[in-house]
Formats: sequence, C-alpha cells, structure tokens
Amino acid sequence: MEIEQCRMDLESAARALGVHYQTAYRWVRTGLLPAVKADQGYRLDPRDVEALAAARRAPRPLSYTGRRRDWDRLREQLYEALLAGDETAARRVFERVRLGRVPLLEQCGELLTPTMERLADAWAGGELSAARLRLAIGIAERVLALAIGWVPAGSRGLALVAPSEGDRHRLGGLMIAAVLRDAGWAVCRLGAIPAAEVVAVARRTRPAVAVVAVGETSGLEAAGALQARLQTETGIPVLIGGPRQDLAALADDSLTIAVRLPLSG
Amino acid sequence: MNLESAAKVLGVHYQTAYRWVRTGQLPAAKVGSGYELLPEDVERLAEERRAQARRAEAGSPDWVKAQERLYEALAAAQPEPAQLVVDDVLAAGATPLQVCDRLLAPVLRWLDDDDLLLPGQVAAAAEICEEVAGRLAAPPRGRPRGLAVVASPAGEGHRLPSLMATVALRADRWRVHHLGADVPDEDLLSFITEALPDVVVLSLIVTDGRVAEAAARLTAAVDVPVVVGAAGRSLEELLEAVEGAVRAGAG
Repeated sequence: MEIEQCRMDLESAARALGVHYQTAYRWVRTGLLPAVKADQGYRLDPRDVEALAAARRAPRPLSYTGRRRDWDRLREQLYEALLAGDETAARRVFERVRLGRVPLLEQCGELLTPTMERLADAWAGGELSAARLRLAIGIAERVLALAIGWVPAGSRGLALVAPSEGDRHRLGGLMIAAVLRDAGWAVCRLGAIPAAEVVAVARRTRPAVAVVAVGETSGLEAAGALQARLQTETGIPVLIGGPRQDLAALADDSLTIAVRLPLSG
Repeated sequence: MNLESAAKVLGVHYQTAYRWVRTGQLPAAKVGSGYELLPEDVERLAEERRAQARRAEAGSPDWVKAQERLYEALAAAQPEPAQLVVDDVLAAGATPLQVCDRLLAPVLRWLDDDDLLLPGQVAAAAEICEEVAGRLAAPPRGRPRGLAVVASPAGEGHRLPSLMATVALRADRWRVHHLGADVPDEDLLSFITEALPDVVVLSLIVTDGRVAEAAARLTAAVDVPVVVGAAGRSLEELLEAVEGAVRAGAG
C-alpha cells in the first residue's frame, strides 16, 4: 500500500461501510481492511474501503426466512435432556430445529449457548455434579457435530479453527465450525495443541482463513497472541471467535474474506 | 415430507427409512403421530446412496481400501471425505463396531506412527475421528439391556478409546452414560453412586501405573461390576467381558 493514497481516516471508512467505528477497527486489526498507522490514528486507501463495501453488498447465504421459533420451550427441552443425560431427546430438539431450516448460527446463539450457560450456573450453584455437567457437555458436542453434518459442506475453501492456548472448551470450537459451515466453508478443527504446531499445520494445509477459538473472555489475550503469531508467520487472515464473542460478526467477517480473496490474490 | 414419501424417494422400505431417522443419518422431527422431513435432506441422502452404489463393490466392505481412503482424508485434515469413507462401509453392511475396530482404530495407529505427519495433523485427525465416532454412537432404541457408565480415569487423556467403547455398548443395546476422558476419581465415584449403573467400563490405553491404580481403586470402591478395557483389546472382546461381568454380578 502506498502511503500517499491512504487519505481516509477510520471514521470516514466506517461511515462509508455503514458499520460502527469499533467494527471497522476490528477489521483493521484482523487484516480484513488494510490500513497504515499514522500519527493521528489509521489511514486507509479509499479503494480498499470501496472494495470491502462492494464485497459486503454481495449476496450472502445467511438470511433466515423461517418462522420464529418457540425458543423458550426448545431451550427447556434441551436443558432437561442434557440434565438427564438423554442423548436421544437432545437429538430430537436439534432435529426439530433443523426442520425449521434454522441456521446453525441461530441454533448456537438461541438454543445451545443459553442452555449451556444455564447448566454451568447450575453446576456453580452446587445443583449439578461435575460428572453430570461433563455428561451434558459431551452430549451437546456430539449432537452439534451431528447437526453440522446435516448442512451440506460448501465450496468456499478451507477454514482452520484452533483453540487459543489453555482453552479446553471443545464446544466453543464446534460452534465456530458450525457457523463457518453455514457460511459455506469446509472446516478443519484442531485440538488443543501448542501454537508452534498450529502454525505448522496452517503452513501445510494453507487455509483461506483461520479462526482462533476463545472460550472465556479471560482467554482473549492468549487468543490475540496466537492470532498475531499465525498472521505474521503464515500471512493467512486470522479471526477470533467464540460463543461469548459475536458469532454473527465472525461469519460475516469470514464471508468478507472469502469475497476479497481474488482481490488480494 | 412424511416418512413414507421419503422412503419412496430413497427407494427403500419404510422400516429402513425409519432406522436412518433413528441413527441420525436422516434428520426428522416428530409431528403428531408421524415424522416430518425436509425434501432437501431426503434428496441429499438419496444422492449419497446413488454415489455409494457406484463406488461399492459387491459383497462386504473392502477394509484395506477404506483404510487407505480414510488415511488420505485424515492426513489432509478433511472431515467430509473421512465421513464419506465411513458412510460407504456402513452402506456396504459394516456395523458401527466394525467401523471402530477395523477402520478408525487401525488408521489412527497408522497415523500415530507416520513420521511424515506433523503432531498437529495427528491431533486434527483425532478430532475428526471423534466426530465420526460420535455419529456412530446413536443411543439404542427399544428396551435397553441395562445402564452402563463409560469413562477413562484421571491421567488418561485419550478421548477416543472410551468413545469407541460407548459406540460398541450402544450398538449392543446398552444405555450408556458417557463421561469421557480424564475423569477425577471423586466425580466418577459420586456419579456411580447416584446413577446406579449395571456395569462400569473404564477405558485406558496409557501404560501409566497411576492410571491403572486409579482403575483398581475404583473397582474396589464400588459394588457394581467394573470392566477395564485396555490397549490392544478389541471391542468384541470388551463386549464379551461386559457380558461376563454382568452375569457374574447377577449370579
């Protein structure tokens, strides 16, 4: 990027893109939106901003036209099923939702995340043993993996999902995989492995995008470190995501990367 | 679409379509007295089956070829082709137990010994296998033989051996509470006391003495039959051991 062309500031860019300043800033940090750091904040090339705006106007597959679901009832059913360790009943809830053509993004946000939070609260309050919580998480993982399999794999390219160091919540990584699958990516999920090995796998498999999964908000720092390292050492765009982050924004960002790929190639 | 029309589209008997709904291959929701399905889900399964028929050779599954295909898919860290290999051998008549014993387990050992693969690739392959095995672990229908608790004791972090034990037990019509790997003693003990299973299966493949000790401690602490599955033991043998332990406990 040539410095003299970078005459737009981040606020104007955000306006041109029709997003909040913080969103534009996040895109700069993840490498989605090229920018150079100047004395007074970031400077951007208007052509980059326009390219991104055009990419965002392109049709995307995430629209949901089905009827509103009775989420309260479905959440209650899932909660009871997980509490009782009843895998069949948990499957049934997801099948019902699948029949409504509800995107996986919404299944995670409306159904799974609140239910898992309620279970975690019950455990923290001493109402639920550690073993029961473990049982519930295992069922949730298997049922979500099943639901992901019901969505045909897309042809957008390979997305790599790696947990941030010390993060042992597999369910978070699965939710990211779900959202990416909805967005048409083929997803490869890595287990908890050291950062150097994540880099090595990324070098070998050459994904179009990588996502660092973060469970708790306290893990954001570690996630940022892995993001920076992956981006520097492989040049692959790296996003951060998790059930406590904005999964919709993650899907959106991944699509923006997908549309931009030919431009940056 | 109801199940009868789905069966017609798929060119199979109603009972077969029903079985696929039960195993989760065909997503369906119960509406009133029947099932409702999405036409695109039915069409996709029909298309998969046509493709399988083209690939399948007459008779039983070709395990060597399936192993090679699975190896390729796992080495490339690609979940979809891996699932496809499993779907193919299932379509050729393999049981979930055979998929574990003759496909997943040998290929994972193969990957483990392969110096050309990065440790991260092997870890990604294990994740894929876990998803595949999770899909095989459909809970049994009808009256179960009893309740089993499956876990690996603290110190055993491998997740697949216990999951495969769950696959085998559920295929053998056991209701299973699957606690997974690396379960602390006290959690497991209190759960067994609360859930009162007919049998406990402890799965371990690490040769760490402390894990074996934990298994022995647990065996002594509960008055439920405990079966310890170890490395090198097939799932068939595990099921036989469970059978024997339950019979001895009842006698």
